[in-house]
Amino acid sequence: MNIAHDETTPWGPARSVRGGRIVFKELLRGEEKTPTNFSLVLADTDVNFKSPRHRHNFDQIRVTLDGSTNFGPRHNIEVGDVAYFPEGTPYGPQNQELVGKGSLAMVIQFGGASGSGYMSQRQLFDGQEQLRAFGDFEGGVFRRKAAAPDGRMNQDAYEAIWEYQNHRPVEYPKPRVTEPVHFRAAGLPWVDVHGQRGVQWKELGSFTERNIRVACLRLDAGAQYSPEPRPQEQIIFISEGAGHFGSGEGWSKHTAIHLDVNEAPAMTSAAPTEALILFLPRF
Amino acid sequence: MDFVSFEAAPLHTRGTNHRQGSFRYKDLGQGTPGQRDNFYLRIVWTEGDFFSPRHMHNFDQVRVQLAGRFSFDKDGTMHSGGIGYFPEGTAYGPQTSAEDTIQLAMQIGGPSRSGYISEDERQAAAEALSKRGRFEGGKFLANDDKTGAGQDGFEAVWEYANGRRIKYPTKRLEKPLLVNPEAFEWLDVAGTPGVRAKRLWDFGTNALSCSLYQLRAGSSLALAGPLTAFVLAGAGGVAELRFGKYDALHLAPGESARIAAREESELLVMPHPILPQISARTAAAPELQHS
Repeated sequence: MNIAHDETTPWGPARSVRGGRIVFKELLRGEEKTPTNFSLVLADTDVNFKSPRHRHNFDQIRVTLDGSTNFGPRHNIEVGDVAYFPEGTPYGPQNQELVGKGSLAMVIQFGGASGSGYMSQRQLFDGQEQLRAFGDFEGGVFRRKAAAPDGRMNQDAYEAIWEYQNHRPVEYPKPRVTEPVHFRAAGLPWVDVHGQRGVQWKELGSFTERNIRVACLRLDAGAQYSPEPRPQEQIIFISEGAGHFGSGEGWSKHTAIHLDVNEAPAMTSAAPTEALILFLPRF
Repeated sequence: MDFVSFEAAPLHTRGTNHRQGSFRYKDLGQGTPGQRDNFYLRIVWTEGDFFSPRHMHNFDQVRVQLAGRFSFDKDGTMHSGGIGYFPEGTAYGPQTSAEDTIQLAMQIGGPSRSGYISEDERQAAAEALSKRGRFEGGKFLANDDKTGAGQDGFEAVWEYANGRRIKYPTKRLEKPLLVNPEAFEWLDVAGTPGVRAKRLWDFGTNALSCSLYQLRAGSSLALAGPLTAFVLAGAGGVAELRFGKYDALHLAPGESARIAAREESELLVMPHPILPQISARTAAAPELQHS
């Protein structure tokens, strides 16, 4: 089990890989160069944040913690929503000005079902710094001082960094779905977990041949939850509450936990707790 | 077990139509009217004149685009081979087609337990309503409606058949889910030689989920109800019956069947929602095991 807390993790420097100011606090990261590598960040986005329409070669989950997060015309992730951006599926353009204010979001980026993996935040920002010798980043686009071997002058900023770090052209998986999957999760019913008093589950959905799965867990104060071991890595994000695991490690608001395959620690809540659970793809 | 032969099923033309445009169909099976998990499976042929206004359902729906193309305006387009999930409470459309299309449509009571009215109930209500007004452009315009705004055609039919105002469930998804199965990878199903699967989605045991299975000639697959299986391609046998392209099989809770492929075959398998119990489908349709 790997655990990190909001209050003891510092914010990073302001970044602008795409366009506009955004600040990250990386709570958890996986293992570089593995298909389930991931990064869980809190993202403090300014109202001036913009990003062109684009797609990823990895998967992404976003939850708004404060404010509202724009991800395209007429598409805002409100508090209580969960949005899943599968690899290969284009979205955007993002324009936070359409909301009229900034937002605080929890974002998990992780290797998707294709096995393309995920370039870590360290690789991303190191690559960006190194690429500045060859051009400028402007509005989410990398503008080269001299043409690339294929003649290109301008390229999506993330794509340019990925290719620089991986020494090969990026390949996007075919989109499995035409649009990001936007759950209006707050209004969906909770279901009692059989045999576990004060424990409730909200299944949002699972996708792809690799069973990428998203669910929510709710514990009453004083509840004890004994989860079953699962054949997939899990990421738990505590949106509210307090308590401790069987190992004695505590959780509080915005604690993030990574569980390895078949790791299933008991949970005892001291205060009413709600959490998002992401099951990483099963390879 | 209810096996429905596509070839033997009669071709109907919808009489009083609560949508707009020509609409021919073959029934491929239904559940029990009045039950929460009542369902209706059919193949529909439409022409370039189809139009349906933006609307939502109080039931779950899966569509498979077998030929042609359907546009759902800003909610996307279904191309041949595409599969879509239109969950209860999620608005979509307007829907149009500018060409001839063939679609498989599965409709079933969803998580809100609102149930699903049968085609007979729908047809009877539409005919009764047509004496009080007219269906035009997918809407019902009552003779005594002084506003001229009309009401969604299905909504009017549902309210007449049920004798109460329709109540739409809380939406789970902001948009329908339109899936391109070609982009998924076939994975071997553990313990079932010659069978591979593509797991498309699963929104939990109280909603309609969807997977594809590919059976090599000579292989077989055991299925346990409640579910509906639709033959996208191939031929083989189930019990004493022979199956072919576009045939359908429905298994009730507790029923099981073994599908044996004589030729390479592809099946769409839709485990039904379990209503109201949540945990029962774990036994009925276990998670795919990868070898």
